[in-house]
Amino acid sequence: MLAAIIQNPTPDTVSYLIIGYVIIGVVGLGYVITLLIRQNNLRRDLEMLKRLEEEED
Amino acid sequence: MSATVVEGSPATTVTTHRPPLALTVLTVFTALMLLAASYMAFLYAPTELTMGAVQRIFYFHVGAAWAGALAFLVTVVAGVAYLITGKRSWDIVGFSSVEVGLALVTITLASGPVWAQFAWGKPWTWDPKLTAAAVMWLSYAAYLMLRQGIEDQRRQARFGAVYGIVAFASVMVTYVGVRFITATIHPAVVGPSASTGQGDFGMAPRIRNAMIFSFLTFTFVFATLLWHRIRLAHLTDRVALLKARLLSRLG
Repeated sequence: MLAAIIQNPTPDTVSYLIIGYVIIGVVGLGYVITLLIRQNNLRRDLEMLKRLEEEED
Repeated sequence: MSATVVEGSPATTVTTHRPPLALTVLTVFTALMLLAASYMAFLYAPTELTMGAVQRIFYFHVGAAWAGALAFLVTVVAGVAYLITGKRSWDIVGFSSVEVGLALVTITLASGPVWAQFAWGKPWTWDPKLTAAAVMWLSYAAYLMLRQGIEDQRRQARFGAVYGIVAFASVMVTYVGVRFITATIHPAVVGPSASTGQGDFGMAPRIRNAMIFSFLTFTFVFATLLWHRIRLAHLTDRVALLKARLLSRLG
């Protein structure tokens, strides 16, 4: 058992792990940011339309 | 955050931008769940001996895949409900769920190649499971693009409902169908499989616990994102309504 572990040590794959989670973070956060940007733009549009409507009245 | 529009008065009034308390609580809870899932993935679960640290990608890779499939199932339910009732709210649930599902499946498809690079020696192979997943992603990306090409809202909704139901076949092939194919090198994580995957590993109790927690976490991630996306769609409708009203006055 010990000999097998020494002969086949667990590989160092931390760099793959970091790259993987950076990708997960970028995609996940990226989507959340697009939601926030769209929401803010719509809110701005809504405020502007509301003002225009009030001016019309 | 979105606006509450009080209709029926001469001037449409924006009264508040605050999300409901339940959504705020759910969002905070989901963020905490993600922190806990990260703890489970990085510290609680043991390091897999053959692959080392890279195996820890598995927890979010599979969790996102599960939530993506759940999102597309919600689209099927919303599609059936729309075809029966014709209510706009079901259409909103349907396309919102597709968008969130697509983001989740993108997490799976983008993180998988990193793991594959180590386990298989190449980031991508036209293996049946991977090919099916790519076709599924393209099917739902096409759903969103094709919807945009239809101007009439009712036709758009009918198209979305039918497409969402039919496209679910690609989900069934990806998650269930390929289990009967022995030629795949992608390991089956949950349930029996006819294949012997390369990069397969045994499920130690702590690995299983972390995986189950990840499934639960991504279910909450999906629910939270869906709720936010639905609110965004309602806000879009309100802006469109106001625009149309103003244009009709000016015209």
